[in-house]
Amino acid sequence: MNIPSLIRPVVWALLVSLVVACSNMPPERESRAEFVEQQKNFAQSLRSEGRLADSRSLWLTLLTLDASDSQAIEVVAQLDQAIARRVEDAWRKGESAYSRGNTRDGDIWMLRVLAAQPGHEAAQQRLAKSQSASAQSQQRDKSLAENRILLARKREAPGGVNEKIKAFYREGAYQQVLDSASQISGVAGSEVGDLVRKSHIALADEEEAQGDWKLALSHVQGAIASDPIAHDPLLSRAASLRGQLSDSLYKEGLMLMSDDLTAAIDVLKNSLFYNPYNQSAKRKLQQAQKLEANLRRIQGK
Amino acid sequence: MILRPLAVSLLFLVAAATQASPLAQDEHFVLVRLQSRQNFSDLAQTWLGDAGHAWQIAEINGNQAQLAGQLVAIPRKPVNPTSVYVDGYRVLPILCYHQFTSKDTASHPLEITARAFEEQLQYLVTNNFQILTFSDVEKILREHQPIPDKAVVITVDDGYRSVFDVAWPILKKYGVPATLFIYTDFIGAGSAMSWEQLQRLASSELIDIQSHGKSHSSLSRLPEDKTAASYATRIQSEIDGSGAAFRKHLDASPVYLSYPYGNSSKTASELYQRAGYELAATVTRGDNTVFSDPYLLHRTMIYDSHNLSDFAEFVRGFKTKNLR
Repeated sequence: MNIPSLIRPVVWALLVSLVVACSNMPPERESRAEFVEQQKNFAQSLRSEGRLADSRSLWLTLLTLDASDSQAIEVVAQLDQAIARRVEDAWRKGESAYSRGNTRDGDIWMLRVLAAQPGHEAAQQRLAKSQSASAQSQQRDKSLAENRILLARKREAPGGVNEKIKAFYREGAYQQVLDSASQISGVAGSEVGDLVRKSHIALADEEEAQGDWKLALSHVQGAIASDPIAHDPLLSRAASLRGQLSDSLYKEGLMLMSDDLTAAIDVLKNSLFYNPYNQSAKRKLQQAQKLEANLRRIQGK
Repeated sequence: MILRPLAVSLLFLVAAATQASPLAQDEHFVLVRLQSRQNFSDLAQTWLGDAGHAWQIAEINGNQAQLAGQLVAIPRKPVNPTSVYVDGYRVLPILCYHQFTSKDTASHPLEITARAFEEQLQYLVTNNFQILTFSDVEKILREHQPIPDKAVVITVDDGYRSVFDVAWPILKKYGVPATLFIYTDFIGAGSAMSWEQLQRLASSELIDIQSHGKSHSSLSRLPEDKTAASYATRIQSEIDGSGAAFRKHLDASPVYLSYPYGNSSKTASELYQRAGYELAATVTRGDNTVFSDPYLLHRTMIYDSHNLSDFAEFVRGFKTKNLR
C-alpha cells in the first residue's frame, strides 16, 4: 500500500467534516440579526424588571457588534443616568444609616448600590469593613464565652478537698482522685471536674493496655459524664471500645458454644448490647438459639 | 505526494470551521459564532481559561439554547464581580466535616456515615454544583472574581484516618475536590492518618492539605495567656510548628488555615497573615460573600443528625433580598 492511498480516505474524511461543519451553520448575516433581536428583547425585559445593570450589559454586547448602533448608544446613556441616580440615592441613605449606627440598614443600602452598579468600589469597601467587624465581634463573643467556662473550672471546691484531690492526681493515685471527688457534688466545669476526667482517662488507658475493654469503657464513659464538653473526642474512643468489647465477647461466646449453650447465648447477647451491628455475633446468636430450641425439643420428647 | 499538503490544508480548514474565531470584540466582550458540537463550557475554557466560567457566558446570553452558528457574547471580565443582583446576592457555602464511618450508624455527632456522605455528594453532582477549592475562594476574595452559580466548598478538619479509608474513595468516585485541614501533632496517632497516607492524598488532584494548627489548642487568647507577648509567642509556635511539619513531610507550606474550635482573634489573624497565610476559616455559620473577611470565613458544620433536606438548605448559594 503506498502513501497516497493511505492519505486518500483521510482527505475524504476531512472534506466530509468540513462540509458537515459548514452546512450545520446558518448564514452569518442571519445569526447577527438573530443575536441583535434576542439581546434587545432580553435587555428590554430586564430593564422593565428594574435590572438596570444587567440590561446595560446586554446593550453593551450590541455595541461590541456594532459600535455605531445608535439605539444601543442612546439606551446605554439613559441607563447610565438611571443607574447613577439609584447609586447616589442608595449611597446617601446607606451613609446616613451607618452614621446613626444602624449597620444592618447601612449594609442593605450598600448592597443596593452594588445591585445598581456591580463594580462600585466604595460600596464594596464599606461592606467588607462591616462584614469584617461583624465576624470579629462574633469571634470575641465566642472567645469570651469559652474563657468564662475555663475560668469556672479553676473555681476551688470547699473544705480543702480540692487540695487533697490535686495531691492524689500529682501522685498518680487516680482511683483515690475519683473516690475523693465522689464526695463533692457538681464538679462539672470546675478544676476538680477536669482532674476527675483526666483520672478516668488515665485509668481507661491502664485498663485498655491490660485488655479489659469493659473497665476501660466504663472509665471513658465516666470521663465523658464527669465534665461534659461539646463534640467530645472521647465519644469516638467510647465507640471504638464498645466495638472491641463486643468482638471480645463474641469470641468468648464462640468458645462457650460447645460447652455451655445457655452461657454462650448470654455472652453473645451481651456482645450485641455493646455493638448491635456486630453481624457475626448476631448470626452466631441466632444459630445458638436455634440449637438450644432443637435441644429442648429433643429433651422434651 | 501532492495529497499530503492538501490534507494539511484541509485539516486547517476543518479546524478553522470548528474553532470559534472572534466576529467582533472590544474592551467588554468578544463575539464568536458557536460551532457545531461546541457549548458554553468549551468557549469558557478557550476564552476565559476555565470551563467552570460557562455560567458567566450563559448569563450574558440569556441562558439560551446553545445552537451551532448562533452569536455568543463572551465577557472579557466578570460582568457582575460582586455577585449582587436586584433580587438578592450570591453566597458561598463552605462545609466542614470531621470523621466518617463505613458502618450503618455514626457513633457520635461529628461522624458521618459513608452512605450519608455519598448521598450529599450525589446531590451536589446531580444538581450541577461547582465544587470549589480554597484557591478558588482565594481568587474570589482577592481577585474580585464573582461567586459562581451553585458553588460550594468542602473541607474536612483534623486528619482522622476515616478520611483516607471512607471519605477519600467517595470523593474520588465523584471527582469532588476537598480541602483537608490537619493539626500536625495528631498525624500518626491512633485514629489519625499517617504522613504516608497524607502524601498519597496530596499527590492527587482532588485533595489540598492545609493547616489546622500544630496542637489543636484554641487560637483565641486564653486565661493562661497572661500577657499579650506570651499569647503571641504561643500562636507563633503553632504557626512555626505546623509549618515545619508540612515542609518536612509534604514538602509544602500551608497557606490556608482552619482555626481549631473555630476560635480566633485579631492577633491570631494578623500573625497568620504575616506568616503568609491567605485565608482562614472559623466554624461560625454564616454567609460568605465577596466582601467577607478572608481571615474569618464562615463554615457550616455537617453533623450526623442532618438529613438531605438540611443539606440542600446549607448549600443554597443565593440569598433572596429585594435590592431594587
